[in-house]
Amino acid sequence: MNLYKFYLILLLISVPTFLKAQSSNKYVKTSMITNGVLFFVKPLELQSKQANLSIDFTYPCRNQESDSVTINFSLFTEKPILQVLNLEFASSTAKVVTNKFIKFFVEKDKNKWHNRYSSKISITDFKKILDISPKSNIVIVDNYKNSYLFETDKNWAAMTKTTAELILVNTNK
Amino acid sequence: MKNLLKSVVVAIVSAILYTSCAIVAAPVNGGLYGNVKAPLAVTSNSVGTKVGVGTASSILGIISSGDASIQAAAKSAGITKISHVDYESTNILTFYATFKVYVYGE
Repeated sequence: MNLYKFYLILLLISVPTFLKAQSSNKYVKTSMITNGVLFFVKPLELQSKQANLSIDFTYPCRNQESDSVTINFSLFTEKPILQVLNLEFASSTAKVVTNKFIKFFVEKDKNKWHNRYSSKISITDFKKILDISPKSNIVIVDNYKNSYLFETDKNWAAMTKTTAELILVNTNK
Repeated sequence: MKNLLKSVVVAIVSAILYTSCAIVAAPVNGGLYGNVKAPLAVTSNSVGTKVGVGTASSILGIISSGDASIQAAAKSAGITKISHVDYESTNILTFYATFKVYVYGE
């Protein structure tokens, strides 16, 4: 067998290995916490003409009514965002809106402004987000009433499906 | 001509594999594909419910960028008390590699 065939076989073997490995917890990381399980939905990136968005969710599940989900997100924009007024997840069938935010930081990163904010929603609202149809929108409105619209993609749909399944099998919720 | 083409392909693949490798730190290495999670640090604080991520990536070992520092990851989630830090390193055929730091805390 010459070296050429060897490399070809090596590459062919590697493809299914890679595909199999990609499917395991690509979107969610779980860990144990006191009296429960912590679900961390890894940052997902969405793009629009005006800005780029990186968003992640943290759900410490302790089987209490007061369980809440933290949404941390970064908006990369041309101009700094001093305040976020609204974050909305919407489809033709459902809508989840949050309007209380904590500003982590706003800093210049190369040519763009990195605006990092955080918000909390109830577990009921989080489940609504996970159940929202694959084709949905995320809308962020800043204090100048600028609206940033992001259309969810295949990764988002896969994330919501994986997360909903994981929460269900681990917590029966 | 065919032999020459084969030789060129072998030379290019060899050059990429052995000279321009995107190598990433990991406790165990996978030449074709690697996806390894491992601990980086732990403190005496109780396990936190906040998680922050920092990422750095490399293409062919030629271009690399990102901030996978504990400081950046903690800052991204508003963490001031760190409980532990894990990392996840991924490499694909040594062409592309990522290093992610997960910081847990409150």
